[in-house]
Amino acid sequence: MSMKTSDVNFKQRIDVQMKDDFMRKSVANAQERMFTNRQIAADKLGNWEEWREMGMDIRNHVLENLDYYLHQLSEKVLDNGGHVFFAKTAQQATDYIEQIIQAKNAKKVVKSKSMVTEEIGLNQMIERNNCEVIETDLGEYILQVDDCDPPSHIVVPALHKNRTQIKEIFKDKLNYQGSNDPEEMTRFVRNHIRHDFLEADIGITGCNFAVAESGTVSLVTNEGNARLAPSLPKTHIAVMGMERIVPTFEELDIVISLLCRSAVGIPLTGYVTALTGPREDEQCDGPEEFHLVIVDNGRSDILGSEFKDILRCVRCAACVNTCPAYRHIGGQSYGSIYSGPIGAVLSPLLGGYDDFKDLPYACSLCKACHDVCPVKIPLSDLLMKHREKMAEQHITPLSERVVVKGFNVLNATPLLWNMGVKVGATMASKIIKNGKMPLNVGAIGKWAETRDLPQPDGQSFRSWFETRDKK
Amino acid sequence: MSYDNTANRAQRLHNRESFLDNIASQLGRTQPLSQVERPVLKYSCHQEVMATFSQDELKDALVSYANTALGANAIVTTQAELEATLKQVCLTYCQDEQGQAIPGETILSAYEPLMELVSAQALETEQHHVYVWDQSAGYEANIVVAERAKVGVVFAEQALAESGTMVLYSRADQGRAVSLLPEASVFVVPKSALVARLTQATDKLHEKAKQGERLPSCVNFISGPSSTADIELIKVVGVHGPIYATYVIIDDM
Repeated sequence: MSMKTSDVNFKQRIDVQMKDDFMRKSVANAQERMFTNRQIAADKLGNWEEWREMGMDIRNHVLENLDYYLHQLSEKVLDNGGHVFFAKTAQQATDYIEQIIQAKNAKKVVKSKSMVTEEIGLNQMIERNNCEVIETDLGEYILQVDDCDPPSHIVVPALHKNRTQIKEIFKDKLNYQGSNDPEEMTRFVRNHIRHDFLEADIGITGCNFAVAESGTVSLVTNEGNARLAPSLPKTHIAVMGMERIVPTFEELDIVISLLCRSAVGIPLTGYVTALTGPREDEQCDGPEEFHLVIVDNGRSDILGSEFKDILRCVRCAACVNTCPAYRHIGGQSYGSIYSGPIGAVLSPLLGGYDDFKDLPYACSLCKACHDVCPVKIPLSDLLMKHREKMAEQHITPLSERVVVKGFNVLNATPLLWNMGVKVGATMASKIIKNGKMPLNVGAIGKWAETRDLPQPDGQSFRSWFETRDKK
Repeated sequence: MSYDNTANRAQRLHNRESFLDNIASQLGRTQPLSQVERPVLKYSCHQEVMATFSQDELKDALVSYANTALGANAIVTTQAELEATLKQVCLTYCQDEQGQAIPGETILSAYEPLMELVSAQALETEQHHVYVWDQSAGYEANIVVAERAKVGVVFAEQALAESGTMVLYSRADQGRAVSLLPEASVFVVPKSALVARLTQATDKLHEKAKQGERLPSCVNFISGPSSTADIELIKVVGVHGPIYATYVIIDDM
């Protein structure tokens, strides 16, 4: 999978998703639970605003000095005996990993959940090399087994599927004979892929935060797969977005504390794993070889732009869990591996307006996302910036541009405006029947579908106001 | 450490110069920065969490959080009773659903502080075998046991009260697999090693890094058994890592 997950247009995707009642109920339920848990965890910790401010400052400091910290990180990884590859493009990153796979003659790769490896389309490359790749995060595994169904949430990727759908997938593809009980299915997967961890030649992980002072890669997980993947295979490859870095362990404390609470509402997830280089010589388990692949893939352009703030993101999905637009359309409507407010800002930046021009409009500008973001990214302001840029570049739909032009003319000509208001009021009273209009176009059509309009009385507000009964 | 970190250094590094030059130019500089002042954190709220707690209060907080929120089993014992406590814990994990003993194996870390307090023989019964991690036997021999063992016993470096977390450093005598492959994980930790939260654990690692020490290749912060909520957000305990976790706190150490 690359970042783009659908070739169908945005409106059609939404139409399909809006009819999926299970998905909509499940998303609403998930949002409520995760939103509440996050709030409870933040309140329990106390001084949440101070924590957020520190999180923001740390991330800003790193971005402003990214060249320095990446240099320091790479030096430390080399000191520890690891390899470092700087990849300007997705292609360069996958080419480098392909060389490793070929050099090792690898037949099996185990992966723990990583958004950046999805973004660069790593799995397709691995499979082209006749090498099996197994996604080991339970959610990702379900999607992979289901013919690579796209993820609908950046933390809980299979949120849109219910237990019975998952049971059917396991039954069809893996000959699973058990019930739809989540515990039974989870145990089944544990037993089913345990041998893959033991047999794999290479383990590939992402990186939540790298620590520059020590050349460490940290992983924040719950399932234990991100401990197995970089422990058992002889080679460990960690792939990181170039901005996912903190100066020292002092800052790691702050950002991990913010991340765990914002993502799942607990002080720490089941596992926080800090990996520093390959294993030491005298140890007999752990990888013999460690490669760190640092990916730009469009991020440096963002760094130099007015969208720089988005690079503070710690991928907690608190914004996703609070977004009313996401709640209604679900994650797959975004057509990108990054959904919700973060996806609506990031996808057009990394993937371009051609594919993702609709996403900045999947937002009602309520700013709830801004209030929950642990590093204070002004997400809705950035969405507005996208809209401005697209308007400047004439990427907005022709109909919208014509309507806006027309409105400008009307608004600037009082005579036309007054006529328009009068004619409009008369027309409305004639054509609105039982609260419905016969002709529903554009955005108004979607809006009117779920609403009953009041019966107009044929006059405009101004004419009613002038002639009203003054008491 | 015998690793020669100067060996093939240039061959292990790719594309750095052009990559960093580009970042510098995006940040409006002609060349990458060679020195940066790291700002002091603006607040100290992270250091204030449980700052006034005694070791006993930390212990109570840890036990209560582990038993209620984490689905772990935290118990307190003494140095003198450790062997008996451990034996009982291990044997509980080697039972069938009716509570009848079944053959089972435990893999024990060979880390010195644990070895000083516990002998493998003392934990054994006719049905319960104990294997001590042995790095000299190599990868295969140790992994085979870890994979079939019911229980893995490790010694924790620190424990974090706020989050019910055990901190493990990978060591030659305490391999990663001991706390990873068996169905049940048992963590032994002295009360004196209890700290408030992640802050104190990262401070320790920061100090090591500042001294120029290489950090252990794998430091794990483990909070309870492995778990997931990927199916309908329902929490299921026991995914790829251990299904059960017991914390044994040594009160007089």
